Amino acid sequence: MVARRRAVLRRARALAGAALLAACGPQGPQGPAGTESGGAGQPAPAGARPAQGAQPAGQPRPGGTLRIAVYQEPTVLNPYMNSQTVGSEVFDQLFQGLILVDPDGNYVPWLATEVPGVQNGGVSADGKTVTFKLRPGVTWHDGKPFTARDVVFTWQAVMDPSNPVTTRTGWKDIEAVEARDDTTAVVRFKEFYAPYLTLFGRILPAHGFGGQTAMDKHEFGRRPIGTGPFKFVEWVSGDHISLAKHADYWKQGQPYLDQLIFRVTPSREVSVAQLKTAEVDVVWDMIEAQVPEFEGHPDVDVWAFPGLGVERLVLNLSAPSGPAMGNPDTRHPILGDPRVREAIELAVNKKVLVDKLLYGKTTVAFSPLPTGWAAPRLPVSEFSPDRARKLLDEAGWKAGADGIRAKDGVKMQMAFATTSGNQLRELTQQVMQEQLRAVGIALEIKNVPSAVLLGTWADNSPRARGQFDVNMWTTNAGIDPHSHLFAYYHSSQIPSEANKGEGQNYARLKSDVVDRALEEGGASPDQARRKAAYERAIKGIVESRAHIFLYNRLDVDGARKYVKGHTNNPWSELTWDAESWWLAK
Amino acid sequence: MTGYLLRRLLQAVPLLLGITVVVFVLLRATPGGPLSGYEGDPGITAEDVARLRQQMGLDVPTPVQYVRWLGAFLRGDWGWSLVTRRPVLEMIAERLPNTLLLMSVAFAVSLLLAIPLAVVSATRQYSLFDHAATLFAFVGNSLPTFWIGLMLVMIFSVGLRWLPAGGMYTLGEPFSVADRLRYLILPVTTLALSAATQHTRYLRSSLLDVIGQDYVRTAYSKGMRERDVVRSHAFKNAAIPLVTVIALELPLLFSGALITETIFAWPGMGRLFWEAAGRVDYPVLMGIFTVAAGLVILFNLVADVVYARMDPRIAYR
Repeated sequence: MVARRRAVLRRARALAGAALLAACGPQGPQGPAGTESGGAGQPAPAGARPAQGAQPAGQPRPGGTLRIAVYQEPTVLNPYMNSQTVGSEVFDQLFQGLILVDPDGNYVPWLATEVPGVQNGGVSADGKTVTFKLRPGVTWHDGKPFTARDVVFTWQAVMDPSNPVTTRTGWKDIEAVEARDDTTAVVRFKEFYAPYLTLFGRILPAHGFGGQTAMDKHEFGRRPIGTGPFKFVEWVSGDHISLAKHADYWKQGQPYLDQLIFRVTPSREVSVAQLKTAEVDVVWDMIEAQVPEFEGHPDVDVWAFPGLGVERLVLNLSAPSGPAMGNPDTRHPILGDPRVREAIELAVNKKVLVDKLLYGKTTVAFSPLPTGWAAPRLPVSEFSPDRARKLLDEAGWKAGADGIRAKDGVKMQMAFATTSGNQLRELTQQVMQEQLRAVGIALEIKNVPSAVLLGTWADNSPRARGQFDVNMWTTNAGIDPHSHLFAYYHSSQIPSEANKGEGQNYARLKSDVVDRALEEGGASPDQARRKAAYERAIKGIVESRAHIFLYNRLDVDGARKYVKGHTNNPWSELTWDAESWWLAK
Repeated sequence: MTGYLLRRLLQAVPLLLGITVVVFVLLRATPGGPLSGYEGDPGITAEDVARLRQQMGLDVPTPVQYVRWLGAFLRGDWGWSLVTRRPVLEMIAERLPNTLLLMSVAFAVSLLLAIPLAVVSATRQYSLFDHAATLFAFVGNSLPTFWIGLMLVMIFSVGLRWLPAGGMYTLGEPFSVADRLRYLILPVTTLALSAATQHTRYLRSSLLDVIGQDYVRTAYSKGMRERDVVRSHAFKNAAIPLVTVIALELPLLFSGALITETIFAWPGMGRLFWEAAGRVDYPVLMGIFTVAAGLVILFNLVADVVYARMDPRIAYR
């Protein structure tokens, strides 16, 4: 039940609250698109972001109805209680937050008028007091004005003990939120919370729940009110959700479309068929394998670009079996040696994976955080089987008669697991199996269902217990990478009996350099200092090769060519800029 | 007969209760659970999960949960979905008309196809028509629904552009019967094709049995026309096995057809059930299971009663 892809990955606004979490969504009979979640959103390599479908076709033309096929349905139209990824696509139209993330991974004002920081006085020196200046003249869909009281209400509603909100991470560190005046909201934290800009990702109307903060079982979840460019019209369960232009939207002249309809089409094959017949205009979240089908299609554009998810190998640095299984102080007989891990990375030709398996449409991965405000620029790893062989020789691994290396009676043979039934991953495995075989390392493919591979300590999942050699899956770090990087690479986050399996440091990385840098990154309100700290942490992570980053996953959507005005934003949803979309037909 | 009916209805109560117990326990014994998707996500802490478990009433022992559910159910409260936070009854009620429409039309079409096919096949056994009908039934039965459905989409939607690939009606247009029919054609064809092939086979073989019997031969020898023999003597008796099959299929009018609904984006009960199963949404699953079980029990009884009507040799005491 884990993971829907993309939007999970895309958790751009890191909407800590909105928690897209795909979590417990149903899988279509076609199975899941097939990746992993795990974290909050993460960056995409820059430079691959042309405004789509936009042959400079002149002025946007107002009017028209746009239909977008989605294979999931939101569970409830309350951004803090929904558990389906697709929910964010709808929330983007209905609700707005204080701060938005632009396509380059920078924070930009949304319902706020500036991004609060230490430099502009929006954040106190200790980082515990954050002042948001709000945009005046914004109205809710029902005509009432948006004010700082709505910001206060949003925090109160998330914290109301009767509300089944998906997460309160960050929100519970807030001491109080005050409306100083209509356009000033002051947030005071009990503890410094580094990703403070990711909170308040969707503001709820204080008047939307009859003066109460209790949201559970409230009709608001079926007829929401927001400040976004489109307002709610109708939701026919299992069929469609239709939205109409918000006439008083604060951006003059926008949105261009009169109507936006999300059409629930559970079969991805059929949604693609409907795109061909123009029964729908846009298809949300296609799979990589559907890209070639539209290559050179006269009427359909594929919007494919490197997304936030980084497909990676996760190497187990600790004993993969026995009584010390998963204990970071006992080294893995093969992978415990850093030279072996480096040899593995040198032997993998990542470029071939991208060119042959992903149609050259994405980029080679070099970091858990390829782009965004905190991302360091790092070189792509070298492909050199010769150096790999040399390193393995130095480490004492000698090739046997069958070409597989061995040392002290241990054969260099390891289990290689990923989620079963995912064609792209299976092909990747076969290619890598051959590449590593060429330097004398044998990988034995042993795939398991995603619920097993990506399970938790309580489920006895092999990754949590440390019972694996090499795993392959995708996760991403989010616009504020702190919680992700900390959970995956800090030594305190190694799952064990002692911490009841908390944490995602499945590789069992234990590095003082990384630990210290991550602690520093989470402790400072100064973005420049944090960036420097994460750069040190990420360098340490990449050099440790606890994870070997292969490629950045593709985000794929499809649209009729007459749909104009869209810009890909890996940090956000497909429809993040639907207010700028228009129809050239 | 009345006594018999009463007895059967009374027997149904403990049976239904037993089914709900088994389903309730099995659902909770399944690994995972409604909150498993949240575990292992760094954005959602163990504290959040514990809070949600408590808010959803999942932190108490299963027997207590069952008693709470049953108590509410008997008072007409089917509970609230764990994920949509809406009443289960409301969620079922909004899907039911769609499913009834699709399934009943498909059902009617399948019978309209099956009965003439079977009758002609049986009365002209081993004719070219019979062989063709047998082949049709065999092929129709062997092809999986998802394949038939996708092929129909490929041919009639993408290729010929005659019919819409999915949905129930054209969005933004006022209701019209013609529009609704256009959207019904492909899913109904998919469903009716496989149902008709099965019905044909049942009816054909039981007709063949009956046609070989003495009283049919007697009817012929009295000089009755074949049409009248089949209609007033053979068909009635031959239909008895078909009645069983049909009666047991009738609960499907409620529970829908998952694959067809998925392919043709038809918002019916099959998809509601599938989605609820994927999210391990206990209250929705319990609601659907209970109604479905009740209907199966009911229609079994209906089948028995119809037997007695059709065949005077069968009597219940």
